[in-house]
Amino acid sequence: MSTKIDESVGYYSLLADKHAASGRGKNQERVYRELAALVGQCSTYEETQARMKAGGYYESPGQALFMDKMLAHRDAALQLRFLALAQIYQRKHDEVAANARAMHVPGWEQEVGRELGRIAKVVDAFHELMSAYYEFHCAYFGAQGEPLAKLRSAAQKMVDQGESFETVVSSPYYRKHSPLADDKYQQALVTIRELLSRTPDYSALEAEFRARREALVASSDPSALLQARQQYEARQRRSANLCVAPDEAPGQYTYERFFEGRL
Amino acid sequence: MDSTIKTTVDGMLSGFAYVKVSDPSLVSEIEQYKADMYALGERSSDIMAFMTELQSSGLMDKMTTLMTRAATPRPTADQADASSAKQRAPGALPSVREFLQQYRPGYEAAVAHGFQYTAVKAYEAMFAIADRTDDLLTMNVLLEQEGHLRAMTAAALYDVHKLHYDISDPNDFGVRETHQNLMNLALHYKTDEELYFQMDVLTHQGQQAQYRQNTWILVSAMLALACAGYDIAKAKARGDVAKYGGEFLAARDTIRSTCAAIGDIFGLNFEGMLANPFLMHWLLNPQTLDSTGRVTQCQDVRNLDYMRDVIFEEALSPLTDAQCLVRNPVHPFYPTLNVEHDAEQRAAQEAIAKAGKERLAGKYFHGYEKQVRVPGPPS
Repeated sequence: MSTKIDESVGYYSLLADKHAASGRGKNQERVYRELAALVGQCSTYEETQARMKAGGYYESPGQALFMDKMLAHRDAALQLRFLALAQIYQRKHDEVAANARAMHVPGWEQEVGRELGRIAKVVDAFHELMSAYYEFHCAYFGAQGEPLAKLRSAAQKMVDQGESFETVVSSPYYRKHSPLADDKYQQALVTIRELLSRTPDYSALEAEFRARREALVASSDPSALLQARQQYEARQRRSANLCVAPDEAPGQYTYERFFEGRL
Repeated sequence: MDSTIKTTVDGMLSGFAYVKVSDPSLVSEIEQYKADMYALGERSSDIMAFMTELQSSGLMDKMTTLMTRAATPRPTADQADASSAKQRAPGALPSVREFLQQYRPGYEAAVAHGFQYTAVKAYEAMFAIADRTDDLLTMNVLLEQEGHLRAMTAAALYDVHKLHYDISDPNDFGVRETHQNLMNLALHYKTDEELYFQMDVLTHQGQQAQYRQNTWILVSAMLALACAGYDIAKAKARGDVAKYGGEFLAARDTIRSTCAAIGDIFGLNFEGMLANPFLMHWLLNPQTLDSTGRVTQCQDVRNLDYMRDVIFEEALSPLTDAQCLVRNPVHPFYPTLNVEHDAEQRAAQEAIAKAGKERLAGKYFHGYEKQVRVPGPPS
């Protein structure tokens, strides 16, 4: 029997060492060290079982595993600066630490899901905001109304999710969803703040545009335009190509023309 | 139902196909669950709304519960160990072979997957323990010492991400970086807690990389759209300058403002975009031809010459608006196929789709989507 006892001690020590080495299993390490010590004091299988049962060791490894799992998720949430999410994991950890049966009480997963869903909506709003900023700058002035409305809508969506524009754009987590260099990102925020607070005055641009259009109409010869169009369209073809990605990155795509025909 | 949602629901529910469920009540519970999932898919406006509701409604957690119950080892007639288990006295411990049978559904799923090469080996190495000992304690020591339990999860994680790494466009660093990081995690993590921690962090980092990549795609698409829009607006204005002259001016200004934004905001220019193969191919409006995204139907590559021409020789040039309107680009714009009204062009489109698939025929993952019923890697 002593061989089996020794083997059990070795097994629990192995588990304890593994969790100690990982740095993320302090509760399991503690329980398995206790178990190794307890089993080492026993001389029979029956005694081992009796003492494990009396000491609550039928339940405590599962309890420790659950607690360590909560701490792992909590630490990840903290690293990502999801404070509300971290609090959910911490609270569940504390409940289970106080009473192992709390492991079986559902509800916390839904809380986690709701918080992750909320974060995903803020991410979407952030991406929508930045996309609207790019689209605003790419658009000619007469088409800037749509991206401007989108920009404001995105900022409102952040508020709807319990965040403010400033907290979101200053968060390192959300900021990393944008590829802009730091100076360009800061420049973008200055512009976005302005656009959120006031609508640009387009009256001068509108007047200039009207003048350009009149000049264009006045200086264009319809017959010359028609002739240019006919010449151009005579050269135009519909075309379709197959594009194949390279085998390694960075690599060139291959383009293969499959069709060229009339418009 | 939105096609993306349907694909997602199909993929999520496909896991049930891997397990044999004999309990009639569980069968009906799973069928009801499937109906609930499709109902949720029907009433969701988009994939984000679906995923959010999936989490908050508890349907996600319910799937885990049902899968666990469905995968609980159940003796079958052809398993001699299982029949001996039936005869086991109440309270008696299972044999090592019986104990290890609890992992058989996972093994069968890995085999059925077809691309979980290392996972299958990991399961087989674990089952072989039954040939080495009859003692449950020794089995546990071996499982722990040799890392079999970790290996099963790690190998499956590695295999799935390796497959998705290999099938993705190598230039798509947003996707590839995520899979590479998760493959590295699978190779190096030691405990489940390390896995939970790193998965949470890497999943979000992968999402960040994907959003950054999507922004570059957006930049290319905006410039491509501006240039294509210019061609259309010019044609209209040439037909009726009084009516469409304003539209032409707007199109010219859009190219100007887009080029300015690309330079000011992203520090890029047209030639810089051409020097980046990934951005260059997104200038050609690629439409994916298969689930890998490696083969696409795109605009004629000569449209890049057209774009250079209208950007530098017209939109950004000192030419007057009237001079631009009458000028013909040296390189014309090649519109894509008109498949709705032209049988020849419809046939060309079909030929491209067929050729695209043929280009991938030599790849080991060719046709993976027909075999792998779970379309995405585990999250």
